[in-house]
Amino acid sequence: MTTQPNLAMRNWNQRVGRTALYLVLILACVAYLVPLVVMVMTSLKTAGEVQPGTIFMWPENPSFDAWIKAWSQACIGLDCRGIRVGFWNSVMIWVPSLILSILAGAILGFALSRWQTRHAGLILGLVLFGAFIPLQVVIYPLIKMAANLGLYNSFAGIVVVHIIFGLPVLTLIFSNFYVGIPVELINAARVDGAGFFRIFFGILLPMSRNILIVALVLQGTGIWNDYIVGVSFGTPDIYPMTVKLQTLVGSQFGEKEYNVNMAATLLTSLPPLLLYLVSGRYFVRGITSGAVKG
Amino acid sequence: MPAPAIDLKASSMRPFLTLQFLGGTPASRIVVGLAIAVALTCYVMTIAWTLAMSFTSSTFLPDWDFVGIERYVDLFGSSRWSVAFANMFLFGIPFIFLALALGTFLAILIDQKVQGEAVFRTIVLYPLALSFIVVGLIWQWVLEPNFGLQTAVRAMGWETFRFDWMARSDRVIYTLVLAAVWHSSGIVMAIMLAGLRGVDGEIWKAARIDGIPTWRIYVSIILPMLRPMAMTCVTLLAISVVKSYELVVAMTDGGPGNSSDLPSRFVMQALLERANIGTGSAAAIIMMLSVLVILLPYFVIELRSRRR
Amino acid sequence: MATIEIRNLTKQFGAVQVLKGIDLAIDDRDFTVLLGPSGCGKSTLLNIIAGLEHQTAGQIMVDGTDISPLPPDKRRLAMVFQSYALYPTMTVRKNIDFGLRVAGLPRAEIKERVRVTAELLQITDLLDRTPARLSGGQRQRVAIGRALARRASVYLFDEPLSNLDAKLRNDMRIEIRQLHEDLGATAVYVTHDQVEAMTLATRIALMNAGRIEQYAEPQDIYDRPETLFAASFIGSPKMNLIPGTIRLADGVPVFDTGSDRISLAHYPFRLAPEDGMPATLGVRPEDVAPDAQGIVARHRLNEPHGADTLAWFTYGETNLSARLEPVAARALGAQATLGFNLHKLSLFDPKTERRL
Repeated sequence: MTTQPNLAMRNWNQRVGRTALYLVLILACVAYLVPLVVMVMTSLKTAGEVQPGTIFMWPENPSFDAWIKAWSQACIGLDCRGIRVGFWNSVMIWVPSLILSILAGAILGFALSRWQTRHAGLILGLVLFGAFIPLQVVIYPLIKMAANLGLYNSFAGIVVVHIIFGLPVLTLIFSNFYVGIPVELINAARVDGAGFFRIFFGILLPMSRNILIVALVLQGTGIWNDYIVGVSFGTPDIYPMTVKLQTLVGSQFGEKEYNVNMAATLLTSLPPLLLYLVSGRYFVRGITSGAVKG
Repeated sequence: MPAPAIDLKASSMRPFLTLQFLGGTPASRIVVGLAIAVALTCYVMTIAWTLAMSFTSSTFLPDWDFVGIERYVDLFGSSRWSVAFANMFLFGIPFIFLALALGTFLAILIDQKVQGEAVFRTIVLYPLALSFIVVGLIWQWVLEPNFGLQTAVRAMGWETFRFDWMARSDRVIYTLVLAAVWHSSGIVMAIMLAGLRGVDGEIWKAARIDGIPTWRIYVSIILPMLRPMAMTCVTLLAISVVKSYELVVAMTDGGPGNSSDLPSRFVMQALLERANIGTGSAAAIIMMLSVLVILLPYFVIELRSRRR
Repeated sequence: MATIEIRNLTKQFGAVQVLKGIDLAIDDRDFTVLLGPSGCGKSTLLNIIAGLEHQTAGQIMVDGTDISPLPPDKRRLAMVFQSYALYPTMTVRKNIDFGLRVAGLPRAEIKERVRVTAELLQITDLLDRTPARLSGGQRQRVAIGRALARRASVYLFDEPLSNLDAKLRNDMRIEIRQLHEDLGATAVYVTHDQVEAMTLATRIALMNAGRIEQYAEPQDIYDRPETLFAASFIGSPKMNLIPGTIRLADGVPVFDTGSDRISLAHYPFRLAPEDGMPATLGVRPEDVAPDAQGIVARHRLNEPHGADTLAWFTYGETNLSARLEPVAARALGAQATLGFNLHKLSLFDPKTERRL
């Protein structure tokens, strides 16, 4: 009986602790969400409503006018077709870059995971080195090379650069995954007469679903969010969405249309955000697997 | 009976590669050969080119007139570069420290078997899915003194509230810190949380039986165990500091004046706008060296642990 | 359908020589088991026969032609792996016909082969499942089926039963044996389990440290081990080994243990023995029995196995075991006099470790 008050005390302490814990967590989440909420609210306001100091105010008559203007009418430089031009440019870059870079990383990762000697580590190291190079160090010679090959200011050129600089992390991710595949499985396929590519496409690739999703999310957000490659290897005609957005915001004369700008920003963020929300834990695995080893 | 030795591996075929793909299929050799070629041309040769340029007097066009380390002397003599270079530390050190502290703190909180853990994780991590351009623009608007936070708080009644760091050349760099922490603390949280989940449950039991209070278990036992993860985070964040370009372009574009310039932006401007290839290359090489310096301890530790 | 002849085969991994000159001639329709402790090189040898690894030197002849330059699929062989190595994303049917499809066989032929194979192994009901939905035994069957469908002339098995539980292992052993007899193909089978080797093999190639110690029928190896290693590796418990010297008493050889003398009158010496030659005497536990005339040993304990009992003794410095009737074992006192079956002795030269 004497332990009774003690237990009650402990329960009470515990409850206070838990409440404080949730309070802090919720506060943190609010802090993380504030900028996004500000953006959404402002983008739903009308031009007249956007006044200094009203960023935390709810829109009186929420409307998507700013979104429509941002998408199809906003002027970027002299081009008044809105941010959608950038969107489609980004799609043109995104799809082939994603498919080709993941394929290249997976094939190279498979090849390296099956080389037996210590040279494999050396080559992996050489490839991995690419992940750490600041683009600024190589950008000038790369632009010159692209120009010589006729790739400057073309979607193909931007795609190639994305493949080359996506290769390191993707190779690492895939090689780590394929190292874990039993040798016997590959030997069985070799006895069955399958060659390198047949083994890869017929047996390994179908087994790689999870790691493909990881790569897809990692590269998908990375390539969509790229600015520096797009701005350096293209001209306004083929600028991806991020570059168009930055130009849109930076090139306005006179009154700043904050609601349109924020709508354009949200439009630009939507694809990676959706990818993030849909992929859930794969996103975390992607950024950490690219990171932890790197 | 001496059997004739057969050389199946055709050693003559590979003068410098002594690799084996189990049976040595030609396809895998081609794949790896291609990768090596790409790495050599796009990673190694390009860096070598920039390194060479940094020792020349190149301005508008690259030329091969070598002037020794003159460009580096110029570089560190220029006040613009000095500001950009110093900013790398003024921005980087508080950013890494705060992101690490906040991320770890959140990881510990989320590790307390909280309900709705997935929601918390999702919210803390979402900024990571955004482009640095977007991050920069968002925070530019929120922190812009006339339009954003300062006026908003004043409008709510706190008339003397002052937060005009965006407009102050001595403080603007810390607004970048704020935006970067908001963006990147999530990855620290994710890595540290993974680390916390990997701690052997029996360590907790042992510490509990010894009667050690929870906070003490974290400080003295658990966090020291997570040092490798923290190390990874620091390396990762530090490299992102050296590379960070979009954030400053979108948020302050180096301003006011050049007070929030960073080496990455300095290089891009020198190379592509100010037509100063020699100086730009020299600055780029300094960036590369910074990355190598950051990676050095990581590799040393890796090597040492492998030798064990 | 095929003979295999391996000539002076060596394999070097860096500084380590894994195979130190293997010579082996496997007859047509033979079931050869490569038996040995882990690390003896048996799996490497199998992989080299399969073409999955390459020898440093030496030849592998199948039906008289050297297959060394050929890739695995051109060697007319099939292989069953320890982990079964079933392709996880393919159905059982696809697993079985993958190799046939790669080889570009006509569709009707592929279908027919899958049907026959599935019936033979009673896996017809499983054809549309993926490996994840199969039990261990079923996976094993599919793995064997995949090999059979290739209609190879040589079947290679790499410890295929080691992932099964004891009961299933016994069943599959009988089944593999039956299959081999029905198919009449040549088989090479790697295991470290001597029971498996004894029951399956027509001949055992006993390997140790990259060499073949003995290649003979199972009973031969058991009765007349060629080396000390063979004597101690095969049989459980191992053959009793007693150090001593050979003496010639009036021209009749005897084995002198130091305290006792054992007649070698019935031992078929290969070379005439010399007086004073050091030797090691080997005798199986079942050839040891209490005998009024024998050597005196201290009885330590009995280990009942049901059908028989192992009795353990100490004789001088050496441990001896005897496989006895349970009744006889229980009757043993602290001291026992033991006699050996003089027709079943083995003698080894302790220096060369070879049979005398």
